[in-house]
Amino acid sequence: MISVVLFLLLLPLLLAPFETAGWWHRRRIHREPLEPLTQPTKEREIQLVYFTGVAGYSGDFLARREKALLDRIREERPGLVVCHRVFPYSASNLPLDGERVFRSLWMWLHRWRLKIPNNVFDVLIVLRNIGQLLVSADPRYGPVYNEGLAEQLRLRLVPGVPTVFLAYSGGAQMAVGAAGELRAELKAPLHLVALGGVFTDDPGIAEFASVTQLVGRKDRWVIHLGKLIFPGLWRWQFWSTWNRYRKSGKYREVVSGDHCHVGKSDYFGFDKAPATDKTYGEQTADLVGKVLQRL
Amino acid sequence: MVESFTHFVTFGSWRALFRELVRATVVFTLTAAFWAVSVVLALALWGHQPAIGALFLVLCFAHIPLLAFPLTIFPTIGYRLEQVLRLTVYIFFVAGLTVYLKTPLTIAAVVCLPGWLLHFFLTEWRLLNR
Repeated sequence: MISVVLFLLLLPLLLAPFETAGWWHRRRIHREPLEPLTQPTKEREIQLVYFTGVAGYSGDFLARREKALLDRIREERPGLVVCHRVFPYSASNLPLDGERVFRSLWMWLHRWRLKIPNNVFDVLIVLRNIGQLLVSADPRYGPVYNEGLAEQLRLRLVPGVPTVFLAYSGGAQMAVGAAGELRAELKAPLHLVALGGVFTDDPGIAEFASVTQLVGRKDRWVIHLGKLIFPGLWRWQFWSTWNRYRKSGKYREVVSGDHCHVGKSDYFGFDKAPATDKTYGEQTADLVGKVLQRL
Repeated sequence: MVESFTHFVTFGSWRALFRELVRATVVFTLTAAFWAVSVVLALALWGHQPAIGALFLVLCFAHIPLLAFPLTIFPTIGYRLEQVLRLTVYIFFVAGLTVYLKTPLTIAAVVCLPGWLLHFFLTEWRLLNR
């Protein structure tokens, strides 16, 4: 019984590279020149790409708390254009309820999640997305996966405009992966604001003009998970891209408050933060707003 | 067989895939042969004369960990596993020389190193370049 459960849990990781391989294969056969989806109607001062965490379901679907955070950031920074319609855990921006073999399973899990948030079956979606995160960070599959993600972003972003990635949890790695492929074409500085971001030792980090990591006081271990399997994050590996970037002065860690990683007091929480008149989410939005003002 | 199955995703056609497989097999075979020859020569310099057949057996034995190679398909974890497996081949080769051919451990470790490094770096060249 235990082995069956273990196998089922490992299955999303095992299948993860095949999605990228399939996309790459189809793309080579039917490659067509891609036009931007929308022409900008007004000047953009700055554009913000939001990447959700590993519990993400699609680019179109955002939790109410995530929408509230983005709305508040928009209020604080007029002229900001927010793009959240890229699902970072698919090289082809195919949401979990898209044309997939396991579509029914993901939809069923999503319906469960809407009824009972953070239920035990959520772990399947999380594992599936972690599989894609590991694909993005893998030096063998990563260039292909990140090329796909960058292609989706190219369709939605305007070149020459400073771009900020706002990434929660595992979304930070996806931003780093895409940046490696995107920087040269956007011809504008890229910045990353990570909310409890989980990084790998992806060399794409060097493409960012600045990286700000907002860390809650109660968010103690998730952000360090990368150190388990990415030797480039170990401090003694002073030659790794990550360590060189960390010491270059472009990387900052800011304590955002009493946030935890997942739960009512996380970076999006609607509960009041202690000793303030703001919610956890408002606290985060204000900090992100301050970071954006400095860019 | 030689290169990880996972590299295949990046090739565009069956012909390119076949060409890549042949190239990788040639690199693997040549560097493995160089490894064996360098060990024989280095041992001879140290005054040991191992039987070629026995050495070949030890070399085969050293590659047993590569049977776990299909597991390298797992993203990232598999990439690390690939490095670990290649390191294990070196360790098994040194252990085989020490136990089976009675070569002193330090000498076995030294004579195996140059050939293994060349073998490792050339077969991993593309990955390490990324």
